[in-house]
Amino acid sequence: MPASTASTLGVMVRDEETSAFFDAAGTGTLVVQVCGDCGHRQFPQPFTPGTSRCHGCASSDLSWQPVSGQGNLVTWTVLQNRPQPDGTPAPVVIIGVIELDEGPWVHTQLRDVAIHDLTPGLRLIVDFERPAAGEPLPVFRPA
Amino acid sequence: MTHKNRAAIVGLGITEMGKVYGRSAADFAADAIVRACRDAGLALTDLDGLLTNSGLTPGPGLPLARELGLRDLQLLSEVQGYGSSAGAMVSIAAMAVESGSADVIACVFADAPLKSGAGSGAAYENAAPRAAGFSAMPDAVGLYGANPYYALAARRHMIKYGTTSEQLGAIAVSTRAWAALNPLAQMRKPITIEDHQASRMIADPLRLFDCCLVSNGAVAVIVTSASRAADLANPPVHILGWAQAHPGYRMERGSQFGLVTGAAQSGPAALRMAGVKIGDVGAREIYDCYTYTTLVSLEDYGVCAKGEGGALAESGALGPGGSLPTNTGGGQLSGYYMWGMTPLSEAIIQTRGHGGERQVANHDVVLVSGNGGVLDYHATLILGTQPRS
Repeated sequence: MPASTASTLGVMVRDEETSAFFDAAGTGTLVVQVCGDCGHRQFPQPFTPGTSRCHGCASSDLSWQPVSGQGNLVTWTVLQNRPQPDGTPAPVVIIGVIELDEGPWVHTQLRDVAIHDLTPGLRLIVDFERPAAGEPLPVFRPA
Repeated sequence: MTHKNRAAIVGLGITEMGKVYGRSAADFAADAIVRACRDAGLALTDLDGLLTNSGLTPGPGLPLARELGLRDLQLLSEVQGYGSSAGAMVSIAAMAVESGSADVIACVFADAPLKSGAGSGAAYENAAPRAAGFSAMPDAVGLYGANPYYALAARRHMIKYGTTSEQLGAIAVSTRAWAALNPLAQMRKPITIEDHQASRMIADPLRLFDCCLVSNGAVAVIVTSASRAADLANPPVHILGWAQAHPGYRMERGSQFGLVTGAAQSGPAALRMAGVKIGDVGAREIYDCYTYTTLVSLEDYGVCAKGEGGALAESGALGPGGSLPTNTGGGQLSGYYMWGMTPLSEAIIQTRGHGGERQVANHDVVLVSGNGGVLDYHATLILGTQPRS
């Protein structure tokens, strides 16, 4: 897990409900929430920041469990942000939606793939990067 | 429905709009309500209900009633359904009228996110507070604002149905052609597909001309009973049907995110209440935060088959002179961005027959689509020149 000084990832700060996720990330393991009542698996979603309830049955009996870290590319966007005030071009960022083999979708950045090679169903595998500060975050690269 | 008191929209107030600086959202809101009452031929003291909806900036809220000196209100509430709010407010007002719990209700949306010297992108990107824990994850991976999420949705539609950027561009072009005919629109210079293709990439596949404007201003409408409406200043716009749909997409295998929106449910439900069919609709006023949103919504309303929105856009049917006039005021892409009040205000103008150069011939039934979040919240209104039978 290389520490990057010029990461395109922002800083994540752990809190009580995310500590187990980041502890696992620190060992290179991707975990998702699994419901003890209905077995539904979920990954924390944009605009659904809470992690206290199962989105399948609203049970609070959730635990973090490792997944394979492999999945398929569902959709993506390429962001070319405006240059810095000093004229330095902003890095191109590819953000993908990855369908884990276990079912949940992860929204995060892709690595080591050319824009013209992006294609639905592309096989991807998780990696973790630690920005200059903050917690390690999952990114995906071609499997 | 067995109630005798059908509801109608009788007043429309649109403030100065766009890059108008130095005024608060609350000030715009008060202005819009005063204008809407004047438009209806009503006094402020006739109001016995007020519904407010705030955009990104601290909005009018409940103190607006005191600001306007409104007394003895029987309905007062702040509504928040993002892009579905306008439809929600009008339907709540209609239900209040039909139940007899209030008689004359103002519904207002106001926002003032634009600051002098800052871009419209900055207005929306900087709105979300940063936080610890998973709520910070979208920001941390670069998902700022709505653009990249809608790009992910549009890409999914392209993958599944072969929709192209040029087809999205056809919507930008037809919507701008309508704006050219609307004195209220902010962007009135006609554009071509080539202009669209040359416009800056914002979040691939969405280009600048795929994205809506950001505007400061407010829009208010007045809802009352059809019987009272008959004596007022402008032709009544009858509220024939309404419905909401909030899909609650789960981001997991099998999700319909990007492929099907809440319009697929709220559309048929609202049409059923109105007792009309999609083919009876003369003008379609669709929440167009992006060209893609127009395209996918038209499919979900059944204007064309699922997956054929791109071909429909290319056919020219949506623009002036086309067989399926859509976003006849220039929408949010080229007109003005007042959340769901953009399509609602143009629908009122068209239903009244006050569209001037852009007036559609068949305006007996007009459809209004409101979309909020990232396709999370949806509301449909069906308006018409005649009351529900």
